[in-house]
Amino acid sequence: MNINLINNYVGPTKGYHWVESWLFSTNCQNMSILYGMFSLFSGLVGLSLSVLMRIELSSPNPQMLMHNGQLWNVLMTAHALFMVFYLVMPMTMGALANYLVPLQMGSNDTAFPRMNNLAFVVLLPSMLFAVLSCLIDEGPGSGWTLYPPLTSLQSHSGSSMDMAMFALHLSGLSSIFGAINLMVTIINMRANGMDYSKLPLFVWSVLMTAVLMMLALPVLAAGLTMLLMDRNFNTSFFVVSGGGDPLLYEHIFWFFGHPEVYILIVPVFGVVSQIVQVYAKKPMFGKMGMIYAMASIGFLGFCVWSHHMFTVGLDADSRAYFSGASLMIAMPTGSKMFSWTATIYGGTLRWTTPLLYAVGFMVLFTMGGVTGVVMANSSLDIMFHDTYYVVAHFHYVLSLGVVFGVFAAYYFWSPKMFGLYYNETLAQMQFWILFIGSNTTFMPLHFLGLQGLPRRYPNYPDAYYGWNLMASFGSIISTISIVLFFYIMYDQFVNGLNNNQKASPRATDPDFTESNIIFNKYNSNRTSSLEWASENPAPLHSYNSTPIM
Amino acid sequence: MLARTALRTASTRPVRLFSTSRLVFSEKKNDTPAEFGVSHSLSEATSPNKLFGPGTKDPKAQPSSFEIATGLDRLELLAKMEGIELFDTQPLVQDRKGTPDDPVLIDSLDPIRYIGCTGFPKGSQEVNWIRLERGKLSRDWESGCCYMLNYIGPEGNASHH
Repeated sequence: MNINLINNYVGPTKGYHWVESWLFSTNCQNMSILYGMFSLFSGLVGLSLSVLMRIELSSPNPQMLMHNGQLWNVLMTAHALFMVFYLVMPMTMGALANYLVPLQMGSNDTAFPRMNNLAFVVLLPSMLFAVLSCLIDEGPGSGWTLYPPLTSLQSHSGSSMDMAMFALHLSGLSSIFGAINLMVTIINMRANGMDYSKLPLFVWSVLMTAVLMMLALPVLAAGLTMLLMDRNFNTSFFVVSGGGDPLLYEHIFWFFGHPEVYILIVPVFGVVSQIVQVYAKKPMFGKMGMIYAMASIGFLGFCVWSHHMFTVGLDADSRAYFSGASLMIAMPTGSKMFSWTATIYGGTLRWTTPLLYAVGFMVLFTMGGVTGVVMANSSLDIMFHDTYYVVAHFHYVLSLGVVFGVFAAYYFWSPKMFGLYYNETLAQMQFWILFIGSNTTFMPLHFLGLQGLPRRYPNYPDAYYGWNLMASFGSIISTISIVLFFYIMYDQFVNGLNNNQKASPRATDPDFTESNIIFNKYNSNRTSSLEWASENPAPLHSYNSTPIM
Repeated sequence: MLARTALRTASTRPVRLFSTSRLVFSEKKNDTPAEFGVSHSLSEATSPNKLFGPGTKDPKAQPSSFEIATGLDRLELLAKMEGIELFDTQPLVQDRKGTPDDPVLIDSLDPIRYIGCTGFPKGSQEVNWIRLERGKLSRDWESGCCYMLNYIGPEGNASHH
């Protein structure tokens, strides 16, 4: 065919503008990088907000906000929204899943590449609305739960609340697009002979998460739509004077909200599984059990929502049920912990940065899980509800669980994604600083909660000063580690090819039997996970012939 | 109110409002170039331009795959109707353990293909991925199974696609 004719369809081959090659791209690896940059930006915004809050809380007296409680509430809401919807979800289901799922399954791209682009493009205005909502009117001072009547017209009459709701609508739309795309990809585009039992655990975790997203996010969309209708079209779904019930919203929200926390954590389960087996040089202990555990966690996640609402006046039978069901989640989660431990046990461990982060995740997520078991008991939760004990719990499972998992994934797969190595020594230092900083931040919150300090207030009595000050110091230490992380990335991108302190996860290293050198002469390129088989970075079209097994 | 709006008009039309099918079924059906054609069987699919379906006869009905499939999708469908598997989608047939003298041959249209070995008998170990290259013997480092790439693509193909 005439080359000019081709150019009419694919665009000019010279002077190809970066906007076209990136923002109009439908390639899953390009989308992954875009999602990664987006998440990084959001993470910085969320981190900045958290530092502001910790500075405010570093002393019982007002530090910056000068008794402006509404501004405090807006900071808190924005911190939650950015961390949950614009950092963790795009990072795990956008950046990591888009890059790794097709590569690990022997596929060149996702099933619906244009939908992939659309999902990202929808996310941009979503974040824009979230930012704008904080800058106009009085801001959304409701917390990420958006409970009415705090979100109704009496309390937030301006358009900022509508804008925040619309931002969540768009974010949900983006996530649903992404979930459909990944689900169809995993079901239809596996390598020849790769049945479900042979799927890598990360792919399994993404599949489970995609199912959770498909089932949970439309429920949030319904709740938000009803809220918007109440605010703008005179309905009264949640307005008591009109026959509505605000408790209905709480049920709707938490029917989404509890699976949402598994949407955040389950992909990290897959990340940790991949990393632990590589650096322990052993196959995963109980792989099928891990898959069933993820499925059980996902299923049970839809059966426990009212444990967030023990204080609203549920009858004793309901509280007994939701306590019992919540406690049951400890079983599949515990089985995963034991499987990871059994994989490490007896393994030849290489204490690289990814393994440090993975083990850090295991320890800290277990601590968060233990406090979760405590609060699953409704009798105890009546006391703990809305105290800093809850804040400590969910930061241990999210900030110290999910974020550690995301760091583990970056350090494990970034040499694959960029073909550039980071400085291993600096990376390990960054781990320890973050480990110390985040524990210094969140461990004292347990004690504050046990002493009865309620959450969501910018001021507190002098008796709580000590632990709050310690937590604020921890926040500064964590921030230093993030600054170091950015330097590590800078160093990786600038000096990555010639880095003397090369990262341990060499591309072809991760297999279980590298000491078995007898067969080295037959296999110059061999690996236990398919994504490592191709070049670094992986070509945009990795497999000319479908892999077979 | 609905009756006075464009929605009312649209609802009486046999096509959906927000759909490109409106263009397809519009009055102007005409500008299909002569070189494009419909294929009902493999023998009629003589060129990529002939890989189009006839489209649905009843605009109100949901069309079948056969009616609307185009391109490679249609070619695969036409081949299947005649009992031919056009694309290689089958798993590895491993009825023996390959040895250095008698390796398991893996067909490939490309000089490189990735193979996941699960040992012999199949499934007896975790998967190990090996990159098979043309003319080079590869051996799984756990089970010892040997594989060789059996290149069936056109000669002179420098691994481009």
